[in-house]
Amino acid sequence: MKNIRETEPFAYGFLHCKSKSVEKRMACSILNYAQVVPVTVRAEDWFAGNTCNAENYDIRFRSNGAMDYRMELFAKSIRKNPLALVYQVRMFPHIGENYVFWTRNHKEHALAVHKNLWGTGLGHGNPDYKMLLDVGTKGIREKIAKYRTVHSDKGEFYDSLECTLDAFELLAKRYRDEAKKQMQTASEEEKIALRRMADALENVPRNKPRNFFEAVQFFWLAFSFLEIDSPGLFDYALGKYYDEDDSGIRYACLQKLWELFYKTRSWNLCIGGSDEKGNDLCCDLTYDILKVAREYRYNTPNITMRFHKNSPERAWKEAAATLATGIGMPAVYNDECVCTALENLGIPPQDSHLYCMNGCNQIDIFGKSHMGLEDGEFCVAKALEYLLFRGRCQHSHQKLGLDLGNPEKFTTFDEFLQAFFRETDYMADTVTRLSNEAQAWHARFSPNPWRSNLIEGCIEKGVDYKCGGPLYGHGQILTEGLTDTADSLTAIKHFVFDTRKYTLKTLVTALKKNFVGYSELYRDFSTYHKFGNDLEDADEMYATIYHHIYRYFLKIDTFRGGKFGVGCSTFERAANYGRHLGALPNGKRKEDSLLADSIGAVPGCDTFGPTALLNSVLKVDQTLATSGNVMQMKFPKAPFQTPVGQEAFIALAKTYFRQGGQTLQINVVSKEELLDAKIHPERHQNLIVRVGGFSQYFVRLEEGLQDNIIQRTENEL
Amino acid sequence: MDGMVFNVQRFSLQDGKGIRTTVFLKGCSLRCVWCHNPESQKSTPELAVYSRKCTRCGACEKVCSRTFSQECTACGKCLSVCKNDAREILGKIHSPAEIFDMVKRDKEYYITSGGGVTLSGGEPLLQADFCREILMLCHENGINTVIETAGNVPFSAFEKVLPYTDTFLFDLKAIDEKVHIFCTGSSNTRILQNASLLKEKTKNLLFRMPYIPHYNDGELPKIKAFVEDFPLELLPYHTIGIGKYATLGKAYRLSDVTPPSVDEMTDLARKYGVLYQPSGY
Repeated sequence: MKNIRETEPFAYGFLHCKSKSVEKRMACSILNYAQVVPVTVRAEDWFAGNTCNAENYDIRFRSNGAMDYRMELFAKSIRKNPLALVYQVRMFPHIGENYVFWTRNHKEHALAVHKNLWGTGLGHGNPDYKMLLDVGTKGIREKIAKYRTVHSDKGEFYDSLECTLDAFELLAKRYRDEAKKQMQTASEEEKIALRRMADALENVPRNKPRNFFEAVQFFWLAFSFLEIDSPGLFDYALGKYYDEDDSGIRYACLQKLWELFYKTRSWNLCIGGSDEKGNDLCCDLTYDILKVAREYRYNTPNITMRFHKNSPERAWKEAAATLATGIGMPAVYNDECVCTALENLGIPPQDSHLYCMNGCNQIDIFGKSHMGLEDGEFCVAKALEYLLFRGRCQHSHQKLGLDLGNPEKFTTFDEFLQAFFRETDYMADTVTRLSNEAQAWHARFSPNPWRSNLIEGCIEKGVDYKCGGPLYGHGQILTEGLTDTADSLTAIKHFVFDTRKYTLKTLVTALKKNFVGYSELYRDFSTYHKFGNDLEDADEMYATIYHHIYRYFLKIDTFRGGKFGVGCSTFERAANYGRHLGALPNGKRKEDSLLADSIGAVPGCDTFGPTALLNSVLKVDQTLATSGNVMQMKFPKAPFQTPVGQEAFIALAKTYFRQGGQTLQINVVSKEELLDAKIHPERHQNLIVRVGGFSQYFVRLEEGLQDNIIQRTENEL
Repeated sequence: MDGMVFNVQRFSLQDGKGIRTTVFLKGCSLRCVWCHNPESQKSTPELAVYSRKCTRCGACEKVCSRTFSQECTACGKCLSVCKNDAREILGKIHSPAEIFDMVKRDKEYYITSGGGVTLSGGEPLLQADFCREILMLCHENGINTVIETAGNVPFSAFEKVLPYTDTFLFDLKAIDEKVHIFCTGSSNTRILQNASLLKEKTKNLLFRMPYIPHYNDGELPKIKAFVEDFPLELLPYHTIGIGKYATLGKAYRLSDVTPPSVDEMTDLARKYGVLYQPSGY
């Protein structure tokens, strides 16, 4: 039987470390892990690594940088082993049943489970693989030595960083030895791969790679050391090695890496873009990544491609051709908009142009920031529910919002709107407070010394990644149901305050009764002007609430030392949020799960085509969105595969970007295909649908979201 | 002068270069058997009933005795009582300014893609004065203009729009008059005269031939010869418009024709040196 040191290496390392510093204890747990984790080498993989997916550990690091424990294994451990219990008490002292949502009392708990709002302090990260490869661990050690003398009181912090480097190098050595060992019994073909692996591991990770193979080996070892997260600006980090490689196997290396990415479900890989002078950064590797994506048609990693006004035609064409395969990638981003948004936060241009995505579509600065993944999320439609029902959430029927009195007292729409903003401000204050509490907790109990090596600012300041070490520590809160709320307000303004066809009291009663017995009111409200059709009143309402909410958040400080930004992401959650709302004045019935799943129209409500939809969206200032403003569009597949269709998409995207659009996410599918996939999932296992920066197989999505995608207007191409 | 329009379709990609807004004018002087816009033929409004949405609740019959009959005048009374939105009146009077207001909204997309406005139909040139005013407004605002015509109008109609039209898309169905009458119900004498005159007056002319197996496919070599050095594009037969017939209470007459494949069309286009752009459908 294995001993505890081997079965629970993190817990063992943590609890047997004598230091008082949590960072040091964390580093000790990583070192112990590196010493005992079983290393397996497979010649057919070409590259050694993927340590973090070694099976049967109760506790490990998570891709969002937090310590995680697998519930089922952990429960087993507690029965068998008191050590695990001690560990749990020490590491998770304040957390309720689900540590992702930070809640400490019943009201906060209700806010989270009834999908009003929640805050947390996790975060995907984008470690600086370019720097790591270019200087090797040797270079990082030199940097630590330099700053050790500057901050002489931070000895333990620097010790912990070096300890994780020891662990990393040790692991490389163990893989090298394993490869050599296996060579003795391997076939001739396998021997070549194993020798190449062993040779590379003689050089990396201590030194700079000598060719693309070594660069990928180095990258893969670091990338899969403790967690699987986002590769970040991959062509920026490895493009130079690709360009200079004359081994003849550089594309084969990329193919092998692609298979490994897929096996491990890696997150966001970002390519293309411009530097701060407007020079295009596309290189051979950029185009070969699109090629390999077309070849394999995997749903992971999520590919993001950055564009700017000087992007070459080839970049657009290859992106369109990749989208035409139906993999929903790449998501296209506009440097001019994103970089301006980041510069408004005080990030200088040379760094703003290093943005990439952490996780799905949350914006990060490659190797320089901890900007959260989702620091929190809130449902804008709940603010309207609070206002109409005197603070009462219509799912839990608890008083979770502000009670601003009887809403019938408002005599003008402006008064009504100002009261609505008091509710959104209250939600903003609450969600950011919860997030900051969670961030502080993470800083105290869950530091990440390995990542501190790889994010600029941590070594320089002598401060951990979670504690405000990185150069930029802004936050990101996501919204749900913004469009549904705007459409509701447009209808309220028209029917209650302008034409006075209905009183607010009638509307409230109709909503309570889920429109039953109010068919005329339902028809009026559900068919009134909707956002996404280039209609002035609906668009103006949307812009008014968008600007208020986005600007309000930007005034609030994060624990990490930045400002909260807002974005609109779209996951399967959109449908879930819909189900936790009562009836809405835009015609959403209680049982409907259809909420707008991006900053665009409510699904099915944009009836004038993609140009009208984009014109509506362009009426808001997207440089206020520092967390990714996803704009989803779905095109039928067949026309997208014609040259005319692809050229039209390119023109559409260019026009949208020129006028200030931030990002476009395109799903290319046929409606029939989707309908059939619902009935016969077994026939459509390969159908990939991109849902807000997140690619998934359609048949694995929940039904509400499947319906949402099907109903979203199929823009005729 | 106001005009009768049944649809303004933004983001059109098959009616000229780039991203375009296509304005569909109602009324046509031909009755092509393969017509994919049957709602474009009559020059007055029509009632469309979507049977899939209709629950036969009978509300419409209570307000109008002619609602399911040939005597329907498209007055629209039944629309207001239909709870299922199963009815629609196709065709509405618009002023040129109203049309232009819709067209100009996508100007940025036209600039990027080389697109603009396309007047189509029906036969737009049956309302030449209306067309002329829209086109003038577009030209004053730097928007590229295209007219899609079947040419069965007096040449004076062409003269009215000629100065404001950047490109004509001129449909030719057949050279043989008998074939033309069989396919469209009308002679092609005036059409061919107009085409010849137009060839002399403008260079920006693209001929297009709807290619319908068993109906006019034999005309391709003759049409190719007729257009001389002007470009000719093939528009293959398709069946996307079939559903519209039932909603208008009309019968579809071409149910036995199979649409030609992309490969077939590509081969034909290569053989005759003509243009062909797969639409993806």
